Amino acid sequence: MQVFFKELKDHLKPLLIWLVSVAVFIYMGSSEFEGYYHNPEMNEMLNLLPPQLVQAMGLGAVNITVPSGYASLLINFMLIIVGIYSLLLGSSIILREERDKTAEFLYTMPTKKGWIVFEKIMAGILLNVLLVIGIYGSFIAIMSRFEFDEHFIEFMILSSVASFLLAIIFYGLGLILSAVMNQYKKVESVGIGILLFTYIISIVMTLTDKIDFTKYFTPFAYFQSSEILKTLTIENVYSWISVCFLIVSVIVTLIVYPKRDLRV
Amino acid sequence: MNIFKFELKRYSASIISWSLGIVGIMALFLVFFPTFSENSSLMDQILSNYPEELLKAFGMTNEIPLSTVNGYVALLFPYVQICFAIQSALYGFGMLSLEERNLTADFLLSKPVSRDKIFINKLISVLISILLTILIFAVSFYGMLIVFSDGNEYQFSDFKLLLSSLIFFQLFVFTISVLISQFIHKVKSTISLAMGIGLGFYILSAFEALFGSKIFQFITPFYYFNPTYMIKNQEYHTLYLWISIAVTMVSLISAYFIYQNKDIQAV
Repeated sequence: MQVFFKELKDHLKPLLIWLVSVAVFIYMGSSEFEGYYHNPEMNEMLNLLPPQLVQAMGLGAVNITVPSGYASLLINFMLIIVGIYSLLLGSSIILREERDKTAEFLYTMPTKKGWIVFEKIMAGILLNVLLVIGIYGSFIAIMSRFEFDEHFIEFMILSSVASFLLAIIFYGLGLILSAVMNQYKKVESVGIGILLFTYIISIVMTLTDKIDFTKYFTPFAYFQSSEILKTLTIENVYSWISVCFLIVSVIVTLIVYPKRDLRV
Repeated sequence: MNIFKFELKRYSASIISWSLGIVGIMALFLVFFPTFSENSSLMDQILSNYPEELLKAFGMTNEIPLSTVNGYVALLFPYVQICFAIQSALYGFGMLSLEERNLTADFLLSKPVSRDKIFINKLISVLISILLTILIFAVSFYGMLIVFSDGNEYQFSDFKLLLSSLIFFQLFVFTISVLISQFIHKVKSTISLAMGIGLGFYILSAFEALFGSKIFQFITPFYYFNPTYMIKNQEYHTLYLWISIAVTMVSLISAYFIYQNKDIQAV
């Protein structure tokens, strides 16, 4: 259990920095929201526009004059932030021993290498949970200046679940890349490359409907905040994909990493 | 010269992968231009009937029709800018702090070269890497326009300004990152900082587009070099261009002086 707590302790400070910066973002956004909040002019304008146009602007489902509709705009960005954090966490939690030249020290301890890695992975999952709770906790706290609409809390809870599911996909990706790749310095770049690429694909998917088949490969398309707000559900398929991907990548990491030569 | 050559060699792989990646993204966007322009010409007709103020309130403009090449490029160019921003932020955070991180700082600094020389050599090699990436992108961009424009009208000269603005854009992000890296005790992971800077600026500009807030306009380079504005007016936002040049100079010069006297962590 020592490794577990050591990892938690070491990653606490970066986690707090991430949370504070996200909170600042949310706060800045929410001060903009004041101009929209229960602004009848805005609603009137929305009603003036023809429905097809409103649909095309992606505003069809969301009413940006109430907290939940507004929050759904911000949550799109939260998903990217969560993805980056967990990807980098996944790779750093495995690779930091090699990077900081402490691998020889740690892995010569009288504990199985696989067990050490397992403790690290568990600490990472807990950190992901803390991140999501932190983000949505501060989100609700900041938005509490306004009167919540009826679905706000429910929407927030669903979004935090969606964020967590997205987080574990990228966390798993970080783990698996660190375990499999031989050049540990490249892991972060490759991971970020994959993340940016899937993000761009999810953008292209909004431009055309010809590449809908790629939706299973682009986690950013799994959970779209406007969809979540409209249906107030998360699609089961995607939850299963996320969970399965995490389990597979943990197993692969536990098998491959202890056999890989350490770069020291 | 040795430092310069060594640095340039170290960046070579990175230049190739970044330019391939960015060109790939642009190609991916342009491949879907024909289908998109079909769908959006109807939209353009609807949009042109609405007053500009109304559309602006929803973060939309009828300034450049989306069904044209110009409008499409202006719509998607920010995503290319994100990649460029992350690249230059990576170089910026890495340039001086990498030696400490790889525990090679005392090796380098105990050589008979002044810090001043080290700084300048490293700076020039990064500048060359940045310019090379932009050049590769610009050339392939024109190539792709010829292939993917699908007979739609456009003019090469319309994009001259957009492409040249990348230089100012990259330098802005790069120098700010160099400056920040001088204040951080020990840069552990350059990539998370670079992602933070690149996407942070982008998110601010997205806020700006959504809500039209004035404060953000002064903070984010994505607004200084807004593609829609540049393509439509064929000129820079003069005020913001000067802001960006001033910030670039100030951060570069202060980073230079801080580095001269900075405590460098030895092993």
